[in-house]
Amino acid sequence: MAAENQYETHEYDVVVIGAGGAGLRAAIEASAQGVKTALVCKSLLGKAHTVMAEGGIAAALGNVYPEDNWKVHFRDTMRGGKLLNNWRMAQIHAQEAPARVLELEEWGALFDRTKNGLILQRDFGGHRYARLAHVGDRTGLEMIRTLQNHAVHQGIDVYMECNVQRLLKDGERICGAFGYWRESGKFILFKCKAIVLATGGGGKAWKITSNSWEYTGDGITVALDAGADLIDVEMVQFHPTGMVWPPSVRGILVTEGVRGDGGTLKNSEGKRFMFNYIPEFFRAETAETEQEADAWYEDKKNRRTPDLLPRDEVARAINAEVKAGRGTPHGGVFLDIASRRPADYIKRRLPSMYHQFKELANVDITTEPMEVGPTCHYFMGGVRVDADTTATTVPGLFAAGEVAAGLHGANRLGGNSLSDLVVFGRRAGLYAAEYAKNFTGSLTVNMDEVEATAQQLVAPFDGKGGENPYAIHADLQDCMQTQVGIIRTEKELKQALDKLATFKQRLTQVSVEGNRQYNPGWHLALDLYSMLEVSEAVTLAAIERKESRGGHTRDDYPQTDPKFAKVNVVVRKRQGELRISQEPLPEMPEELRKLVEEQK
Amino acid sequence: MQITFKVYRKDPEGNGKPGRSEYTVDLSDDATVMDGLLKIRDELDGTLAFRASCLRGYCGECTMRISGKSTFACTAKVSAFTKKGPEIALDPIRNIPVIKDLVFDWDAFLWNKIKAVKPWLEPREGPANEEHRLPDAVMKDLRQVMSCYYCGLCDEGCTVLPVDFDFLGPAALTKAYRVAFDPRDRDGKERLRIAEQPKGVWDCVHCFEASEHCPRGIAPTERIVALRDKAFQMGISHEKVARHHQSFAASVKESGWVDEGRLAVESEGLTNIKGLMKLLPTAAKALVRGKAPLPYVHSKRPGADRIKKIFEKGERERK
Repeated sequence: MAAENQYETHEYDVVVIGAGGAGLRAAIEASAQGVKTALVCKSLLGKAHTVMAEGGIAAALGNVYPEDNWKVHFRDTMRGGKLLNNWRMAQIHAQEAPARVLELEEWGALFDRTKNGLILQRDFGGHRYARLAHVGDRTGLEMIRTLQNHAVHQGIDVYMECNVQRLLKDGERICGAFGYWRESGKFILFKCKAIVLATGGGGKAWKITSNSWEYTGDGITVALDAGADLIDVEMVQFHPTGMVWPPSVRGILVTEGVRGDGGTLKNSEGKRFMFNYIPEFFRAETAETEQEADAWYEDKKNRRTPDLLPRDEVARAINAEVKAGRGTPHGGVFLDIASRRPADYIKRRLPSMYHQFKELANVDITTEPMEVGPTCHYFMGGVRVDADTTATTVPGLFAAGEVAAGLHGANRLGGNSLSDLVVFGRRAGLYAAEYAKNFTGSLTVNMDEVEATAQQLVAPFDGKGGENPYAIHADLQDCMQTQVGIIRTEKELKQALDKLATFKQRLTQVSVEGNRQYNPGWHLALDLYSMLEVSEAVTLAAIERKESRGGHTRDDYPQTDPKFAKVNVVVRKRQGELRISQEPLPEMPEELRKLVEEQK
Repeated sequence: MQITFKVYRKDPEGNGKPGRSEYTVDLSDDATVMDGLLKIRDELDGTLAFRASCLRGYCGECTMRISGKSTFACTAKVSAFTKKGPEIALDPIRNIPVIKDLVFDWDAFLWNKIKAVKPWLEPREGPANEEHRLPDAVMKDLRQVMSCYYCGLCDEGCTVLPVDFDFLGPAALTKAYRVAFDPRDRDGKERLRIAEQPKGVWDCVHCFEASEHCPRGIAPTERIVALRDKAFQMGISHEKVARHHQSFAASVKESGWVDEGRLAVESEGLTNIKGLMKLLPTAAKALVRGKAPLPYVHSKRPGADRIKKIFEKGERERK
C-alpha cells in the first residue's frame, strides 16, 4: 500500500497511448462507447507526427474518378505491399476509408473541393486513380486539429508530455501502464483494463530520417516486453524524396504530391531516369515513354508515369543513380516541377513545399529544381494484430496506426497511412472498449514490479560510467544508416548486431546530469532503450528474410523468393531474448486473389 | 564560425533564480539556431531544456525569442542574427509562465484559452453519409484560418495579454472565427456569444501585433474585427458594449467629438444604479486631478455639422 501512495495513480477502462491520428481516433471511439478513457501522449497535444503528413488521405470516394471503388484501392494496396499484406486488413481499410473521411468532414475538417463542391482527390504513387482527399499539402495538420478538437469536445482526459515506459500485466492480461511526466520527471501509474498502442514507428534510430524526436519505437518495445508478437519489422520504408541540402535539413520530407502534381525526377544529365527502373511486376500498368507518361496526368486511361511507382521502387532507383555517379552535387537527384507547371499552380497546390525550400534551402521551387534523396520514413512492420479487432497477442492490448503491422505488407502506398490511422484507430477504440466492458474479473498491479521499474528508470542519474546518451544515439544512427539502410547484406547486418550489443553495454554506463525536471538528456537515455531494442528486432528480421521485397532489399539476395512470399518474419521476446521465426501468411479468398492478379 | 549563445536559464528545482548560461559552439554558415541548440544540448549541457519536434517550421514547438525577435528556432538562420557580432541571446517568448529554461506552460498559455472558445464544429443536421456541397471559395478563407500551427506567436505579440493574462488572445479568438463563419456549423449566434464572453473579442485593442507576428498570414486581428462586426450586425452584442457603441456614435454625431462623461454614464445604462455608483470613485479621481473641470460642459466642435452630415449619409447608404 505504501508503494502505491508514492505514485500519482489513475484508474481507467481504456488507456490510449499516443495522440496522433490513430490514438485520437481510438480515444474518441472508446469514449463514445461509454467507457472511461484516457489519452496519454509524449509530446504536446496536436504536435504528434500526423501533423507533418502532407499529401492526403487515401479513400475511394470516386469524386474525381467515378470508376474508383474499394476493390481498386484494395488491389493497389496489396500490389504496392508486394502481397505481403494481411489481406483482411487491406480489405477493411479500402472499404471503410471513405466513411472515415466523411466523418472527418462532419467533425469539421476542411478539404480542398472539386468544381461541384465535393471533396477533391489527388494523384499519388501506386494509386490507380486520383484518390487522396487533401487540404493543400497540410492534410495531416487539418486531420489532427479536427480530431483533437473533437476529442476535447468529448471531454477525454488528456495526459500530455507524459511518457509511458512499461506495460503492466496481471498474469497474461494487461492491467496498467507506468511512465513519467516530462515536465516534472515524476512517475505516474495508470490502472486499466485495456490499452491501445498508437505510438508510431522508430525511424529516429536512422541518421537520415523524416521522423521527429518522438519516433523512438517506444510502443513496439513496450509491446515486445509485454510478450506481444511483432511481424514484418524488416520492412522499413525509405521515402524516395527527402531534402538533401543543407546538412541541417537532410532527411526532411518532400511530399509525393510534387510528383502527383507533375514533378519529375531527373539525374545530373537531365535524363528522366525512372523509365530505366520499371520492374516486371508493374510493367503492364506503367508508361514507357515520356510522352505517354505526361499524357497520364491529363487522362488516367493512359498508363501512369514511372515517377509514381511505389516508394520502394523509386527509392532504390534514386540510390542506384547516385551510386552510378549521376547524382547532384549534394548526393541526391533533381526533382523538377518548375519547368513543368506554372508558378501560381505550384504555389497553390504545394504551398508548404514552396515555403519549406525557400526558408530552409533558399531554393525557389517555381524556378529551380529541388535536390532530393531517400529518407527513413515509415515502419510497415510492428505489433501483430487481429485484422478485425486490432487485438495483439496479449489479452487487453490493442494497437493501431504505424505501430501495428499487416496492412501495408512490404511497402506502404502514400496516403494509406492517414486512412489507416482513422480506420484502425476507430476499430481499436471500439474493440478495446468492448473488451473492457466484457471483462468482469479483478486485476491487480504488482507494486513490487512497479517499484523495480521506477528504480531502473532513475538509474541514469546515478550512472558513474560517464557515457553521454547523445553520443550513443549518434553512433546508433550511423550504424543503422550505413548497415541496416536501403540496401542490405548479411555481412553488414551481422556487423550491425555486434555494434548494437556494444551500444547496449554503453547504455548501462550512461550518466545524466541535473535533476528530473524537464531533463532532455535523461529522456533520451530512456528512449535509447527502445531504439536499441527496435533496432535489434529490425536487424534480426532483416537477416532472416533472405530475399528482396518492398522496403527490404538484400544485395546478396536481389530477387524476390516465392518461398518468402508466404511468410511473415515474427519477432518475440522470451526469457529476455529476441526470438525469430517464420510463420505463414493468412490465405486470401479466391475472389480477392483474382482482383489482385488483374493485369492492368 | 564560432557562435556564442547566451541562453535564459530557470531551474525551479535548482536555486530557482533565473539566469543566463553562455555556450560557444562551432557552426556552419548555413546553420539554424536550432542546430546550435541541439549541439549545445548534445555536446555541452544535457540539462538545457527546450522543445523541438519537427525541425522544419511545421509544428511551432520551438517558438522562442532570438536576440529579441520571436520566431521558430528551427527555421531561423544563425547568420541573420550575427551581423553585429557572433553572439545570440535566446529567451522564452513573452506573456507566458516558464517551466524551465526555454520550456513554457502550454496549457495556461494557449490550450486552455483555445478550449474556452469551443473550437469544434457542431454540424447542421444533414443526410447521413453524404458529403456537404460547398464552393471551394467559401472554404478557402477557413482553410487559411485553420492553417494555424498553434505556435503562439500571435499571443506572444499581443499587447493586452501582458496586462491581462486572462484575455483569450488572438490564437483562441481566431478559432472562434473559424467556427462562427463555417457554413456547416449549426448555430452562428451561439458562436458569437462565445466570442463575446468577458475577456473575449471586446478586450482586443486593435494594435495589429498579432497579425504582424503570425507566420502563416492568418491575420488574427482582422478576424477579431470580423467577429465584432458580425456580432453587432446580428444585434446580439453584449448590452453594455452595444450601449457604449451607440453612445459613442451619438455623441460624435451630435457634437463632432466624444463626450466622455456621457459615454461613461450611457454605457452603464441610465437605469443601472449599481453600475453608475461604480463610476463615482473614477469621477471623483478625475475631478481631483483636474481631468473633469466643473461645471461639466461638452460643447460642439467647429465643423460638427459637417460630421453630422457624414453620419447621415452613412446611415442612408447602410439602408
